[in-house]
Amino acid sequence: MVSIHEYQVRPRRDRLGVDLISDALPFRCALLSGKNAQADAIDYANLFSGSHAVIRVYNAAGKLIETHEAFSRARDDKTASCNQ
Amino acid sequence: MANHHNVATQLTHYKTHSFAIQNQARHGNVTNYGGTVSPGDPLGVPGVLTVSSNYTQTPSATLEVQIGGGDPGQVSVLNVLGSANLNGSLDPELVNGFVPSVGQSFTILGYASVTGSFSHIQNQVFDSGRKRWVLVYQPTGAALVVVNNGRNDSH
Repeated sequence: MVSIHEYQVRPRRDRLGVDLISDALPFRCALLSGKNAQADAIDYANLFSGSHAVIRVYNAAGKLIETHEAFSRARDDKTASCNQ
Repeated sequence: MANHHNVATQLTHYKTHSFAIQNQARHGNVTNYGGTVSPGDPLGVPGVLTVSSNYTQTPSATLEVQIGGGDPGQVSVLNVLGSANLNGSLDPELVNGFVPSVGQSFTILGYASVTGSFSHIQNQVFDSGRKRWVLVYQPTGAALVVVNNGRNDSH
């Protein structure tokens, strides 16, 4: 049974960056800021998803502009871990 | 408020220096007007700095955090019990020869609430360009996460 995690990347109204939204995330929502916030959010979702992820990117008007599909792969040399 | 002014004045005096307090607490608000706040010590030993109220960082100020391993005691943490009002730079400093792996995550900031964000991450790309830091803000804290630099994971 392969679980598919769905992520949404949406620009914030305060223009701080983007919100990454998914039930797979610990708090369901995370903020990523900076000029590469959208790419960072996609990379983070790829990294965080355990097996198969669909990442949908929306513009400020709420329109779907990109869909990325990612499958699990060896993560460099270690699995994700947290220091908390 | 007295504590606020005392600490703020102290930080103003440290405009071109580090303000490093290892494993200590600061009572009241802390405002970093343009200096560098470092929870660890200047020699690179990670530490924890707890601010009992709010922490505010201005656009020209820097928060420096030391990361020397994957265990909690090996990572500097700024623990803000009130609101973290962020701007300016975040400077992650790898110490003790530690090079984190892709996927590792380091919580470097705790807060009750947050406004703003760091406008710049210094040394964001590391390990000879192979990896980069991504800072992820969550409701109660922010974590630096290592991702591959320049790799397109998408299909």
